[in-house]
Amino acid sequence: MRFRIKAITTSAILLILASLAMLGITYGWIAFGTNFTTNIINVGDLRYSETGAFIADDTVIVPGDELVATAFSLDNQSPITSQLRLKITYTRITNIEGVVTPEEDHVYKGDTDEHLAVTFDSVFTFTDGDATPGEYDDNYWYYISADEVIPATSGTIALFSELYYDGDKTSIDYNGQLVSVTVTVEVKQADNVTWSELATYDFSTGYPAA
Amino acid sequence: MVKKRMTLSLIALISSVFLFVLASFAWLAVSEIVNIGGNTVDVVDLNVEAVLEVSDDGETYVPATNIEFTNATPGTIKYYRLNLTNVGNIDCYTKVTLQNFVDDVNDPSTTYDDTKSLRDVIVVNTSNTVNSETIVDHTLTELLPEIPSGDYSSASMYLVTSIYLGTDTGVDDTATLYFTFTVSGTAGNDYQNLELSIERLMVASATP
Repeated sequence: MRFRIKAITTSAILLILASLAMLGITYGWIAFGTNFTTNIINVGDLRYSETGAFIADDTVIVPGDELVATAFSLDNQSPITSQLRLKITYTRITNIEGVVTPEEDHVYKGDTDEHLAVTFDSVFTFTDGDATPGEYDDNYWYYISADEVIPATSGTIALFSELYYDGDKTSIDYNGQLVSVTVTVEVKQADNVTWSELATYDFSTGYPAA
Repeated sequence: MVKKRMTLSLIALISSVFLFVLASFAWLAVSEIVNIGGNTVDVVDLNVEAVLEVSDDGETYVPATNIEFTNATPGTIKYYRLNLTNVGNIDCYTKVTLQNFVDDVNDPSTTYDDTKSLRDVIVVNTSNTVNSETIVDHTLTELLPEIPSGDYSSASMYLVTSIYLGTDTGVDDTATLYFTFTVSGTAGNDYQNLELSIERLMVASATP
């Protein structure tokens, strides 16, 4: 008996709800909407891998010795467009009024008095694309140009295969000195973002043989 | 005794409901209008069609079945427009919402920062052809209610709260909702490879 009352009550409630739903639809109180489903927003990422190496650290060198053991290159598999630049700094030793003066982290700009010789395997331009001197981004070599946009998944980008102290430019002042070379590679998404470091390659000579 | 009363009540209830429904749907009359005791009951057809279109430049639009804004970079804009047409026989208000936001990653095999959310850097702008309701340069985070748990999988936000659509053929019965998603120019590399899924873009209408 109790079960029957419960069943009848439940049926009545369901019936009332169904009726109200039908009335709601009939009178436009309730409307079925249109749905567009599976909406996705995502941001691409930079996918570069690097190859290349300097000769072993602590190697004793003389001017003209090749410092690149394996040519440096990048493989771009980014799903988005990107930009690439690199900075080369080295120890530059000069003689100022009889005093041997090492300058650490001298930026390689490709000037005629550079003590370092670099052979790029792609077009790199030493410019930041503007005329304001003394800015931080003035010190970089930009792949192709400062405005160059590298297409997505563009594949291999050769960087440089030769880098050495030029015997025609260096002097006896380098004798017995420790020198180092650093190459910093930076990439970024093509629009509106700051550069971020992709890789840094260092090379330092060993203490010269006695 | 109780059983008899219950049965009679049920019969009475069913009968009254059927009468009401029959009257509403005009099953008792051939015409669309039914007169019962001098009252007029109109059978309404509330029906709004929505067509979604997408554009990369804000000028040339093509049909779209969903929002798909992939491999975006900071500064990238995606333009959408939603063409609404009242094809029913009654005026109505229409609202458009984005529902259920879930943070995800584009490619789990590469690096990403799971402490960041694209909700913070996706900027929304909206306008429509019917009224002055707009959203101007607000991120999804600003538009969504704040949820302390950080779980936005049931959260929703309005792209527009109310667009009036009449029934007269012409301007009154149509409207276009324009909306754009922009990856903020301030989004740094921290946001690389992140993804945001929005389960539903819903268009719902109701009578005035």
